Amino acid sequence: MLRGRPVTPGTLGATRPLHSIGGELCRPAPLAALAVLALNDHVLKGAGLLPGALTGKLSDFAGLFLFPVLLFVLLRVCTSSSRQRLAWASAGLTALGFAGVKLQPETNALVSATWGPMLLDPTDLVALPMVALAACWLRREPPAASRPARLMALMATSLACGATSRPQVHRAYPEWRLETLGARQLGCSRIEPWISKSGKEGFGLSIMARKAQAGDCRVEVVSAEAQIDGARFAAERTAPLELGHDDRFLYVPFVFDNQAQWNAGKRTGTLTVTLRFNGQITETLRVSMRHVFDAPHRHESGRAPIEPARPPLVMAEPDAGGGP
Amino acid sequence: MLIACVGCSVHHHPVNAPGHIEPTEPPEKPTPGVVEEPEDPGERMVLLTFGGLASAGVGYPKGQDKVLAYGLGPEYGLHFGQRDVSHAMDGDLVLPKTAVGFNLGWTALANPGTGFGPLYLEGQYFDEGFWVAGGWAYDVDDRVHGPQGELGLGPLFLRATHLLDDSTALTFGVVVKGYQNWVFSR
Repeated sequence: MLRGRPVTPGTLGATRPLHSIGGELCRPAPLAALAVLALNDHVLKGAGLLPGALTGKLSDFAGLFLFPVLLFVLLRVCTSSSRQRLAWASAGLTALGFAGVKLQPETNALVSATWGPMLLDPTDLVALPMVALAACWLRREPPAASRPARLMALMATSLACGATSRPQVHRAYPEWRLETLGARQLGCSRIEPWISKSGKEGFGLSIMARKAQAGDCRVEVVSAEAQIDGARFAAERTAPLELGHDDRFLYVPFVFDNQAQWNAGKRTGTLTVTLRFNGQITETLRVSMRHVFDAPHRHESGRAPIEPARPPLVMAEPDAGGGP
Repeated sequence: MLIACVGCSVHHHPVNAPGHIEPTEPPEKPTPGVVEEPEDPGERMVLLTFGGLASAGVGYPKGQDKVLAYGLGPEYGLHFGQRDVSHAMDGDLVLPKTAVGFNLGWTALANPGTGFGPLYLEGQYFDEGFWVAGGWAYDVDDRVHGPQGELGLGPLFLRATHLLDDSTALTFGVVVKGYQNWVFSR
């Protein structure tokens, strides 16, 4: 049978009843960390007052000091280990958990889904020494504090540690993407096509081109057509563009009710573009395309917690035309 | 109350999801592989709200002196709203800027009156945190009815209830509601 030990403030190795915990949280250092954490998470982030790199790390530094203190306070309720051992255990557990969230995609996904969005960012580990600082700081017994003060500090710290800051997100949109990406040589030019605009009113195909051979190289789009689940949408031909050794751009607009296509669930298509070089040789490019919508939101930094899987990049083979 | 346990949730529906573009204009800064950001078309929202109201003030039972008036009870609502700027773009709560809808409520604990207080059904218009609501209240116990209206700012409201040939109450209170919010693009 377990026998209880007398509970007196400052007794090493004694468990504490729930109503007597939290004196550590009433001291200036954790209160300052709490203030920094709350201010940074809910006011400074995204406000533009401080550089994003600073606000991004400030919460990590404050939280990695505060969380071990909170964990220490909670662990003291249920264990009779020495103060020093508990302090280092709290610091170690915090460091392990934080490293897992910042390094392991699976752990990050689990925590992000249950606690709130967290970036998978190994550079945040720069704040890890704060847990050691917290462990050293916890070795000292705190002075007595009133019960309301301890209760309020415990509640505020739990809230601050539990409530993650609102992630800086933007609305994301569906967009047509070519299944094949990359530059290729076509006729006298080296071209790189991609869909540069995509919205309710249609989409736009951009082609970056430069001269790949000696001599003149003039390119024009003589026909372009998008087939989306059987429906055909043609674009107008473009004016000839004289290519040089620098990058130049052709733009082919496809104007149609893309929102209707989206709402009808049409997500795949084929893009056929016929280019004419120097007014004589024509070559036709056929590329599959998909209407993609990864998520309704995207992160400001472009760093999603988990990068969505993308199809492998493959080169499309152009169909050589038979002349003008 | 079971519905209230669900709390606040947001459900994104992909209908109308593409943004606005001017397809005949080439992108301003063409960069291979990069799709130019479309213009934000804004959002529409359908909200199912649920929660409770508590208020206190002054009541005037017919033929008697004024008394302390109070009211406490649940309220459910269905609202249709919209935002010109999508919620993800301005860091705001996932709530509409303007909305119309109706509330079905029950001031279960109420004074003046005997037994339970009145049920009510009212229309509501919400604009940037300010709201106005009006409808009709019916007290099943006392078999009296009459108009009821509110003016509100966020969770605070001023309510006037006039039960014909029975009583009038003017109360100030707070409303706390959760929501299920279905968000889709305009």
